[in-house]
Order: sequence, then C-alpha cells, then structure tokens
Amino acid sequence: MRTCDLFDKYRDGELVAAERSEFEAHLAICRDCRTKEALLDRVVSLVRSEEVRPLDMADRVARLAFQRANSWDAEIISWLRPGPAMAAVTLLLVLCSSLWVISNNRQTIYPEYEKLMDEVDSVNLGSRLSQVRNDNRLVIWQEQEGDSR
Amino acid sequence: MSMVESADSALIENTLSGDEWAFRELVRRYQAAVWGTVHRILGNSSENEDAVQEVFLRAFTALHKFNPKLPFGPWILRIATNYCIDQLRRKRGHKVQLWSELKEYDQDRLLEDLAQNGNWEPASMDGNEGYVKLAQTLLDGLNPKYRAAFVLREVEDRPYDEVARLLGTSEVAARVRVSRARVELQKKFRAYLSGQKRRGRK
Repeated sequence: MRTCDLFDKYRDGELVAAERSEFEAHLAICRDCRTKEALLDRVVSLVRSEEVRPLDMADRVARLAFQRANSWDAEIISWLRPGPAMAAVTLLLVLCSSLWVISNNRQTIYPEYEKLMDEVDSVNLGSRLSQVRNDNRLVIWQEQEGDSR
Repeated sequence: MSMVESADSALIENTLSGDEWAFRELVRRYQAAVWGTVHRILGNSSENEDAVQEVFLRAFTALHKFNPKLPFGPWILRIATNYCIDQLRRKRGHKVQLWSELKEYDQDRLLEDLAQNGNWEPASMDGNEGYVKLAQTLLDGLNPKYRAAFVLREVEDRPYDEVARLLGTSEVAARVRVSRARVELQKKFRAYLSGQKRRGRK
C-alpha cells in the first residue's frame, strides 16, 4: 500500500500512533497529500464559518401542515394510508361478497325468470319494437311482422 | 429514555391526534438542526427557507409511519438529507462560473497565495466572503451524494455510522463517498487553478 492511500484514515483520525507518525513524515515530502489536506481544512472551515441566520418558521409550518391535512386532496391521500386502506379493502370485500350472494340467489331463480321471458317472447313472436322520430315526437309502436310486407 | 425523547413522543402523539400546537413545538425544537443541515448541504441559497418548510411538511405527512420509541432528530435529519440530495440533482444543470464569481481583489489574493505557497494558505483567507463562495462552488461541483456525505462527515463532524444512517446506506458506502468527495474536491481545485494559470499567461 502506498503511504498516500492512508490519507482517509489519517484524515478521519483512525491511524495508530506509528502509522500516524509515518503519514506525517510522508506529508512533509508529498505535495499532493499536503495540498489536499490544506484544501479540505480550508473548505471545511469556510463552510463552518458561514453565518446561519436564526429563523423561526414553527408557526407558519404548523399552520400550513394542518391546512393541507384538512384539504380534500389530503383526505383522498389519507385513504391510501394503511389504516383507512384496510378499512376500504374490508368494505370492498363485504360489498363484493354481498353482490356474490345476491347473484347466486338470482342464479337460483334464473330458470324461472328465463322461462317467463321465453313465454313473453313466444307470445310476441313475429313482432318487434321500433323507435322513430316523427315531428320531434318519439313514437313507439308495435309493428306487426305482416304489416311491413 | 430521556425527558426530551419522551416529550418528543408525546408531541408526536398529540400531533397525530390533530393538535397543531404540538407540531408547532416539534418544529420549534428541530428547525435549527434542519436549517443547519439544509444550509450546509445546499449552500447559501434563497431557497433554503422553502427547503426547511418542505422537510417539515414531508415529516408531517409521514408522521404516522414514525416509530415514537426512536429519537425524532435522526429521522427528521434523514428526511432533510434526502430532500437536499434530490434538490442538488435537479440543480446540477445550472453550473456557475467559479472564477467570475470572485471579486477581483479575492482573485488577486488567491493567486498571490498560490504563487507563494503552492497551496491554499489558511491564515490569509479568514473573514473573506469570496473564499466562502469559492468553497461552496467547489462543493457545488460534486456529485450530490458525495457532497452530502462530505458535509455530514467533514463539516458536521458526524461519525461514519451516523452518516450512513442519515444517507440510508452502509458504513462502507458512506466511507467511499466521503473519500471520493475529498479526491474530487482536490481535482476540481487543481483543474480550476490550471485553468486560471493558462488565463494568466495569455
């Protein structure tokens, strides 16, 4: 390992005493490492020296957060959270199962229903409903099959 | 558990129950820390106030996911760090002219220092706004992830395990990022100087 490779460990204060002495001797002769060390020290102290002006944003931020939380789009988003989402899924499952039960019941009565409809069709055999517009009036009439001939 | 932590967890609980005062108090406690991190990672910008606000609004939206048994500080700072990295990625297209941003006086002094010492002479740079800008601009040229890691480790002096937690990465990855940031800073400074010397000869 080149001594230059110890730079990060030296910088982070992770070298044991013997290694540190070795690296410090290296710094005296290696311009690259010396420049890097000086540059980093300088950048860090310059960034640290910058004055951070004090500010108090608590009132504004809290007001804004609660305004947003009470808005309609936040209500929708809140439904995507785990708790409400589970409630929504449960509701959906209950609805689906109810529909399934209803449709099953319909299936049980369907043969009777179909029989009834067949009877209606057989009674009206040869006739159909048509819709035409006549003088802006919707006229529905039953057209006998024989009439159109 | 310390008193501060338990008080934080009570504030979080009350905020989730709809108590605006509790959230205001939480913001008041952590706004300086968030402001500092945002300021150091993003640099001095007029957008920093909006950034701090956005960090707290994001925290508010995600507060129900936060485990109140854990300390709130690292969590909010992690949101801040991630937000800053995103912002830096968006900004990367807008590179600034390094040299032209310095005042003529600062340019002369920097060149004089370099001519005499072959590197940056710390003693001659104190209290100089132009050099702060130079340092920030060098940081601006870094990959956002490297920059955030560098600021957390070098400027804020955090241990690597904490840097890793704030960046949401492993300690090894955090070390690699900091190391690369150091190398990149040196390269950029060299490139900047060589460009300046060429300009000086013309």
